Amino acid sequence: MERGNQDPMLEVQPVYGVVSQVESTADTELLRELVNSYSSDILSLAFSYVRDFQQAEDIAQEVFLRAYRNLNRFHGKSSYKTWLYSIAANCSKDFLRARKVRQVFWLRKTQEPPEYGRSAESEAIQTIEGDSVWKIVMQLSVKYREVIILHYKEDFSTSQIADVLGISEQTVRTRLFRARDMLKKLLEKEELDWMPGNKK
Amino acid sequence: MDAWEQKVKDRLKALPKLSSSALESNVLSKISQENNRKKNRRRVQQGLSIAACIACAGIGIGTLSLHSAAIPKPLNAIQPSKQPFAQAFGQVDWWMSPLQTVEGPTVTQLGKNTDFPVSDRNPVVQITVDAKVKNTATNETLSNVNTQGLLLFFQDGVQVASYFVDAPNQPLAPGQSAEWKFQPMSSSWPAHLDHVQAKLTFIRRINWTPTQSVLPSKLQPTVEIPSLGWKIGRSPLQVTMLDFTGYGQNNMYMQIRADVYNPTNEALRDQNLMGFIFLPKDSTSSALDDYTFKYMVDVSFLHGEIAPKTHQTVTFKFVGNASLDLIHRTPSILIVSKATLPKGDN
Repeated sequence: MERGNQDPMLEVQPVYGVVSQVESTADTELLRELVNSYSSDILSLAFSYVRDFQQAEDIAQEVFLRAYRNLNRFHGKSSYKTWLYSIAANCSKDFLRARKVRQVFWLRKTQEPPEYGRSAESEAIQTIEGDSVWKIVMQLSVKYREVIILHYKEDFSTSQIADVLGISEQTVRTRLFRARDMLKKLLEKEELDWMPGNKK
Repeated sequence: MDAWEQKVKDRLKALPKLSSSALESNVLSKISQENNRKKNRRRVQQGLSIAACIACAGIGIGTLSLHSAAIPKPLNAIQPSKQPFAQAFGQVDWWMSPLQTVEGPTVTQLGKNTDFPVSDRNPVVQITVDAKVKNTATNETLSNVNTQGLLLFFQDGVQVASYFVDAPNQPLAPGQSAEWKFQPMSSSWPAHLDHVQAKLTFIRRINWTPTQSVLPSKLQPTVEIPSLGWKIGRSPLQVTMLDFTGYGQNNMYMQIRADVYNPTNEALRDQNLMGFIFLPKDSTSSALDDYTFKYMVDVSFLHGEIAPKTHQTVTFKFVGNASLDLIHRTPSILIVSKATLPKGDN
């Protein structure tokens, strides 16, 4: 995943040929590697925001397209994973904002759960949506939900979460503290026997 | 971390990851579409750039006073070139050399030499291009003095690399043929390419002097090394740009005046020099970037040479694209020496 520039002076060596126009597909190869490595993570993260598989798929696609278009701006200050998560978080929130606008017009339309075929994807979605902890996490607002997902599910440090969300580490810690508090209360309310307050 | 937090973490981490079989193909398909669009744009720019290069090389530098009446038709013919460059080439026969490719060019890729990798992404690739060329003129001897080659590489119909190349070293009498061979510098060859096709075209090298207000009927060589090929090496000359001006539609006729200093103790003849002008898109672009316009220009000194330890003001004139104003770009100039090759080294 190394990137570099060619020095034109190096080309001027005692060899036949004058100017070469080199076109590289290195970016495409790199993108392919990124898609292979992170598509599942990005799709799952997007799903945690929008809770709709097809929309998550659209977002994931957009994430990789944006990444591809901006590969030249990636300077390696963070990992590719952090960078992609950052794009995914932004894309997902853009999508949620746009969806709010759309919902004004489609408010009366009956919201029916999307139907998925009997595929591996639909089974995975049913497993996720059926999980009691996931359901409770999804009750949190987006700004608390995202830090919970990134911290607990993705194992990101506060510093990495700050990079992904473009906020300060202190803000991450504050949100995490509040999110943890809200989550604990919600979990206790659900009478989960492994919660400290629910032990009898 | 509290026990309940650990439990939350375990539960969340245990959830299945989503996957999409269509995602990768969708993304790559969109990328491919974007790349094709980019390639089409780039192909037009490459064509324009190279065409301008050739026009420039063909016109020569001299001190020609450019005015619209004196601008030959081919320049206009090239500018709107959205069609493959080779086709645009065909429309402008006045600068085509009678030297024609009669066999080949065939491209032999000997594979990536892993014994001497420049890097994982830039291995040394050995490419050889062979062709047979013939002088189809009836009364003109052709050599690398009056003929310049352009070798274009295509993959899947898209131009992927281009090189200025020499005509055969030995002068070819009318009707005579010669074997022609070329090896691109391995480090400049795009390593990912495979099964490329080549197109070899020869154009005239014309020196257009101020006394010629119309297309010159008599060709004048710009270099005098008829039996030798030339290599490119660093030149000791120091070049400082004085000004960069343009005129005509969208400043399509460009001129760079540069101060050239010869720091050596010997006079240098301009016939052994060649200039390159790069017009990068912005300060972050390199000379070989896709969107950098590149011009090959002749260097003309007063009386054909620059004396030791002296300065001369040299004017480079070149023609750009009427639809794109390049005057705001920051040019860089490179003067290289055309060192000769020993006989038989080609």
